[in-house]
Amino acid sequence: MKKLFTLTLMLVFVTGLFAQKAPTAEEIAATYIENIGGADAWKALKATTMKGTASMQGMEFPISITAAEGDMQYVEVNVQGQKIVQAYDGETAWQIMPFQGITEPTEMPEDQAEQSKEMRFLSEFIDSKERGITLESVEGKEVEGTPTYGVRVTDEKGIDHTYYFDQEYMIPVMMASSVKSGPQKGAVVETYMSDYQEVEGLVVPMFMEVKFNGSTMQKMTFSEVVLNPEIDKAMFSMPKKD
Amino acid sequence: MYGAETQPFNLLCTCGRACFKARCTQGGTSTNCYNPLTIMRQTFTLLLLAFAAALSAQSEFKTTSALFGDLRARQIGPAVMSGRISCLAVNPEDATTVFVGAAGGGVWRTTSAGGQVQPVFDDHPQSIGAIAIAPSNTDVVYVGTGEPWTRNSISVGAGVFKSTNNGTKWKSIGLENTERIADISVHPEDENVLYVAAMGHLWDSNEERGVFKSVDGGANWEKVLYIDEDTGAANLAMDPNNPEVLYAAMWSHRRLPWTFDSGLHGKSGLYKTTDGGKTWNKLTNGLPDEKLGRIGVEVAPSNSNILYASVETGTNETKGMYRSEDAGASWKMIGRNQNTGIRPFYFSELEIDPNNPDIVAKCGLNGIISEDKGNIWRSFDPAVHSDFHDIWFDPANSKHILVGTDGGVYESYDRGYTFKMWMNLPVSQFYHVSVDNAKPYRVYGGLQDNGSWFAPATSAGGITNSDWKKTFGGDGFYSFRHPTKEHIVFSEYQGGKLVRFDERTGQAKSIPPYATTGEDPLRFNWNAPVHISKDGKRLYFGAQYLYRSSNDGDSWDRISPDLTTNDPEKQKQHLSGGLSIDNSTAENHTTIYVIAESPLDQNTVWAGTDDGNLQVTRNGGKTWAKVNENIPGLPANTWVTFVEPSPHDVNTAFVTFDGHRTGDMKTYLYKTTDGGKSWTDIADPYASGYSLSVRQDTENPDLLFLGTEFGLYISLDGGASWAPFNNNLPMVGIRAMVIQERESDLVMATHGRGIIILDDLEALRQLTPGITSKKFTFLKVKPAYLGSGTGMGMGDFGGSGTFVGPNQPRAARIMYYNQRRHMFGKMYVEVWKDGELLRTLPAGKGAGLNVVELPTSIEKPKAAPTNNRMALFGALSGPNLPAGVYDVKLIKGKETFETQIELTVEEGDVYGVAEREAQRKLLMQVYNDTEELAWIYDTYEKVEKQAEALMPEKKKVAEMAKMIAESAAKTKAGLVFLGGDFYVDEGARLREEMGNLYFDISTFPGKPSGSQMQEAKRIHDEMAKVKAEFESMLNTSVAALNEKLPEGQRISWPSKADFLAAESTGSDAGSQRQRWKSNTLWKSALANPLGETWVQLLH
Repeated sequence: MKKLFTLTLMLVFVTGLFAQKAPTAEEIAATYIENIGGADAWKALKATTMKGTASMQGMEFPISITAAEGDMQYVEVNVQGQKIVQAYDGETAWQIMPFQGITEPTEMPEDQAEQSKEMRFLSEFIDSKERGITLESVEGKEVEGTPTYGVRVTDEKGIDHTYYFDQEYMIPVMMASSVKSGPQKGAVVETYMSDYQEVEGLVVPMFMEVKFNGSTMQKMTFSEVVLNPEIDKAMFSMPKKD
Repeated sequence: MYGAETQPFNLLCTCGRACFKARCTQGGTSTNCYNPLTIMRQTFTLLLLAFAAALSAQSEFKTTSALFGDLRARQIGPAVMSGRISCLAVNPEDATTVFVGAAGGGVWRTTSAGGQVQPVFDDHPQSIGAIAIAPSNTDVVYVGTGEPWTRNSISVGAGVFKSTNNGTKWKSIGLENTERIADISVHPEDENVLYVAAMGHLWDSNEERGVFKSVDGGANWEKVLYIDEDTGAANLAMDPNNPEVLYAAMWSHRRLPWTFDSGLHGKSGLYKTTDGGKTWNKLTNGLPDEKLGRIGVEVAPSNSNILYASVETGTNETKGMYRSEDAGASWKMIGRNQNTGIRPFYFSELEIDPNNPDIVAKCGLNGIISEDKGNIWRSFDPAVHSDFHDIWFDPANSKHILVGTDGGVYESYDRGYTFKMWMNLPVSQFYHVSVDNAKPYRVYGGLQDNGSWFAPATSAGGITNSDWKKTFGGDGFYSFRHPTKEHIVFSEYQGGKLVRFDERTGQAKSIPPYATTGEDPLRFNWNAPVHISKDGKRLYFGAQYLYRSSNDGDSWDRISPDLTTNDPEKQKQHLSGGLSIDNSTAENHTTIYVIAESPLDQNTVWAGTDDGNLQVTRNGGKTWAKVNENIPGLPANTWVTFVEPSPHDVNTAFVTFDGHRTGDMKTYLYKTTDGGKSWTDIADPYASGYSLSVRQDTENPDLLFLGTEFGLYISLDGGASWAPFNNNLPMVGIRAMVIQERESDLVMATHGRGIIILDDLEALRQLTPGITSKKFTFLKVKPAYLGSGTGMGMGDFGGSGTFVGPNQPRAARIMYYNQRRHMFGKMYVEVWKDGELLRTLPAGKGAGLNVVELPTSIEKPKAAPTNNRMALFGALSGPNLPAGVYDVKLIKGKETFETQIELTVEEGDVYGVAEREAQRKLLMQVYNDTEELAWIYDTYEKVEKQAEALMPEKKKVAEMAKMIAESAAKTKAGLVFLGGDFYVDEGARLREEMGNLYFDISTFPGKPSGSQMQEAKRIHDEMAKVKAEFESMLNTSVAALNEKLPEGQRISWPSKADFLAAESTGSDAGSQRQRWKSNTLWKSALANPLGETWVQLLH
């Protein structure tokens, strides 16, 4: 058995020799950003709104995500007439979760809030160094039959994701991140991306699927993307109680 | 147009594919990439490469795991008898967190004291030896693989693994070649300092054994105690009050296919270090001065001077339990009990009450405990499964005890007088599996120390512990139902005790043959082979001779000479065991192990023996040919584990061999196409695990399945290439497999994770080189069957803590092969019926096989609110889709692919198409009435609210508005029941009557009753009146009011179509409903907050 393990390792190594030298994380980042429209175009963006359908355990419901400069976001999901909101204004993460009995805007528990705070409006792959984000090449792997390069993205604030880039197209096929708290702490959540489409020069994935332990948890299909929508930034902040 | 940086990037160029730039292969800076020539060159190169790849695809077909795509295996348990547990570890800070190590079923974790247990080690070898939680940081958990209880059927490990997050993720940290780890001790204050007792190879000599120490969390190891290449460390005890002090039990032992030797060259002994492993002293004072075997040792946590040891010797007077009161300097033998010295290789573990050094418990055939320093022992609750391997005392309440046995985990709160079983650990160890042809088909098999059982492969609400029925006890092996005599199930227990179980009476008749005068005594393997022909007319049974019966085992014809090597050196079962004779039939050798009659020719029968003979007869046993010598690369005497005579060709057969019992871990798989004259090695050189079973698909001869000690391998090209199948299939030994032909299911007997079913062979059958060379292909799917009623009220309320195996999903499946992962442009599925778009579904995007599931029922109706429970539950499920053919369109970028799927009724279904259609039609009528009422109710509400909000200046108009508001409110309230307590104070109005009728019709799939039809008509007529009144109000009083109002203030409402189409305006959410449905939804959502991850990715 031991011998066989060694053989398998050798194979990977030999294959590695035959393959072309893998690009560096910086090369991957540069090519990726160029492929999805270029850094300038993304930097010019002030806000986005994406609308679509989320499906979960055979149920479907409409979802809308608005994000803006300053790492603000506002997610609204409508489940059977009940409005669920999760939002973050750069300082405070809050939510409305009727199914948990949270019917008024309420600050998120710290562990959940942390996840919201990790969101970056501007891709982590743009001006990474200046923004204190570290890109690190990690071993790629076959993701649903597609050979990939891996890039791990970390920063001091706790971001830790690994993106897997399609070796041919140089855009992400999957992103792996770890659950930060709760009984599943440390377990890997995989988000698969596809249906990339161009919207006014920018390329965005219009389909995403979240898998946990190999099982699909959510699928999300976007039908509409609005760049620089007219929004009132107050929407991101938790409404004051009357 | 690629030229300038400022130009918008164009996604699709004229070549029709996404011409994204490849990475900068020229090695230059990124500016080089903007050179249009470079781009063009790269694009061209890419195209060329793609073209070349397409050309070569056909000739270079290779089976890959990615091809299997969305297929997932289904683990159906069972947990009713659970399986062998080798070790337990409990979080010292929180006794509700327990890690369970199974002999062959991996590591399971509970954080709810067994309420829920989860497997957390599926990607690694499943044989577990030891688990240790670091006391100073309980997120750090170490697992040593390779079970230490060295029975004949034991698996192998691959070293030590570490988790830093309470067992969620694991990393190998070395000692890979130790094969089995008996113990791990972690320093109480430093999570990075640990000692490992490595037993080493069981079946051959090796040097990676003894006590190892790491001071850096497993990055580096030092071997701190080593005797020789045949002596391993079998137990380790650290003094929790002084972690520099450790006691190690060293054990010389060896197992071979035909014998076991505990004691071996006599190097066993008990050692002590007081300097963290730098130096060791052998402890002898008061211990038997003779050849020793396996020793178990523990230090009392409450008094470091007190130790107990279980010591194996070859003398009845000296073997047993010893106690030391001076930290090992001297020892005295203590009280005896059958279990103090029984079967040391299997039962040497002991445990001391952490709060009282005089209370000690020991594992044995039964667990025993003494409360007076070991003078007098009593047995634990006899209701617990025999064969104890680990015991844990709760330091906070030492009457609280957990034990691990051959039959799972049990828990006591009264110091062992009574135990309750954890009924949710499906770590059952099957040896074999068979299926019948019932509907649903049933699965049969025998298990290590757990008898023979069967259960349906599908059961309402899932396959529960109570679905499993036992046919015989002992260790179970082959078990199968007679193909034509429904009441007979053949089962056996160890060493050839074959029985014919009669389900009508529950009686089992012993039917093995006996040796006749002049014959050698019969030698039956521990796991003796039984085989029945497909037609049920010929039953075979193997000792060293092959027997055949034509009367279901009542009498036998011997149809072979001794088919084994008959080597007398390997026939010493009665002497096996070393110091402790262990004559259990487990080492019976030179026996027949495999029998297989060709499904195409009853005269062609294969027999394989445990000592490496492969024999075949082509004339029903008149003459036999030994063919193993023709097999290239196969060492002599390699155990034959499985023979699969091809279902397609009588001259073809596949055979697996297994040499692990002599230390040869290679994967052996051979194929003959000339009846055994010549053989080809078709094993995957990269496969891991010794070979245990092989099957050829019954339809596609190129589709092969290989079961090894480390999982399932599949070949799509007749064995030329193989890939592991990992989707929900752990690295568990697959001892046997069978294909249920009617359902096209591969049913696997795993030795540690129960029965695992791969439901979708029809898809694998189509993954041929021809299909995979195309970009996209729909696969043929067999018709999907309409489901049953919702079955409300079924099941029991057993609480948490019992296992339920999943059923195959009932959804209709759309399957396709996608050559490359979809990346650009939309990809989704539309389902059409009779020219009408029924549903849009997200498509699978991955390379390989994709499965999209279409629910066979439509959405539940939109309904008016109610506070009546039954009415609410009634409308929670949608009607079935009608039987028939559905058109499927898959839109992928600019292309559209089309296919059809069929929805029908299973042949022989009690509820035929016509009856189901009658049910559906009537249900749809109530469905439409329900939605109409929802709309009317909603409109009344809108009218009421708008009329109320009006503040017209004219008094008359205000009067009209007031009347309308009042009338709308009153009529609305008359339609539904909203008062009451939602439980026992409930009323019923039209809404509730509809809901109740909907419930009654929808919960039964067949023809509705006459009364239901009558009630549906009454409700429909009632609805007509409601609607007439509603329309009249809108057309008269509301219209009249609107005429008086200026535009912009007029009362308005959505059309029915708009109301039904709107996603969020349904008003059916009562309080009970929210609780009911939100539970499952939010359980998963909480682990994964909506939106957050998505937003992250968009930028």
